[in-house]
Amino acid sequence: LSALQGDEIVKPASFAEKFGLSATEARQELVYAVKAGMLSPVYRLNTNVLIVDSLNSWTENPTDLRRSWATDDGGVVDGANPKNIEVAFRRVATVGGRA
Amino acid sequence: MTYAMHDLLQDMLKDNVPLDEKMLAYLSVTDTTRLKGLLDRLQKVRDFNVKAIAATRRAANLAPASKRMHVKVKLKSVEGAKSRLVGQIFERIVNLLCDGCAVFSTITNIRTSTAEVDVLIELGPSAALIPMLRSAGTHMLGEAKCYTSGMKAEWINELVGIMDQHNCNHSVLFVASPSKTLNIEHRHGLQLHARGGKMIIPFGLKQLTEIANGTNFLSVLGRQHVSVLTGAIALAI
Repeated sequence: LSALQGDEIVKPASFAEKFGLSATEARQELVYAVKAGMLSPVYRLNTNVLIVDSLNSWTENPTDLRRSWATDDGGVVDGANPKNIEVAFRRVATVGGRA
Repeated sequence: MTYAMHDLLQDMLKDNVPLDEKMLAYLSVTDTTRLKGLLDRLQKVRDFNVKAIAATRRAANLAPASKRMHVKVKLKSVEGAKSRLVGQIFERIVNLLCDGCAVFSTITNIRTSTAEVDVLIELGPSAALIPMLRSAGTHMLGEAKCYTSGMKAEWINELVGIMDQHNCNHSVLFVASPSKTLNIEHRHGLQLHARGGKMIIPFGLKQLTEIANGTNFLSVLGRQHVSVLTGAIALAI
């Protein structure tokens, strides 16, 4: 994790695959890193469908997503439901002199 | 399978990682513009001069060209109307706070077999993410007191009785009394009841003003909770 670049996004699934961890172990390690101030969670809507008027890019502030979003296929994603918010992690602290 | 915020919150709860301000802000959003408007309205109604209103209405009814008769012309009935209006505005304020909070849902004015509950706060699964709510069980009570008098020990003791009748160990006492630091009698009462398993969190105009100025509802509620438990001298409404 300390080798991550400042803007690199880590998803639990890819982290688990890269280091041969189970999903639970990977989640635990990432949460520990958040607790240590090394990583910060980032959020976006948990959908593969195009969102009208939004690129659905990662944001550090989940409150930005807390509303209803119209999707390209005519559906709606409720951003107020935590199950509809996807989480990944971004490096925040300087470790070993790396930014 | 993607990792959802719901999973992150559960993992943080499991590992005792405190929620940051951004997560709290997501879990509780308050329309501060509306809250400020309601607080202003509450103050305006409170400032109504009931004697002057009653006198003006009586004079208007007696005027020969009067087309519209005022029904409430007696001082008592005007006072009653003012109290009802204050109660309605305060109820809207309480609902505004509770409705913006994703960790619980509320039902107002519930009549039970023993009493009428102002607000029944049902705690969802994510309520356990908030440290102060971990021991709260399935529900809390919200009691609103809209009097201009200061906090009364009877309110606390009565609420403990109502909590007992409703199998509840946490409640929020929403008070519209003038802001002040609670005296030792009230602090002691709250602290002793908390030690006995009945946690009452006093929540007054001071806290509502803080929220209107941008502080998160859950943060303010958590701070009041800790102040009750510790009997903090600074505990205020």
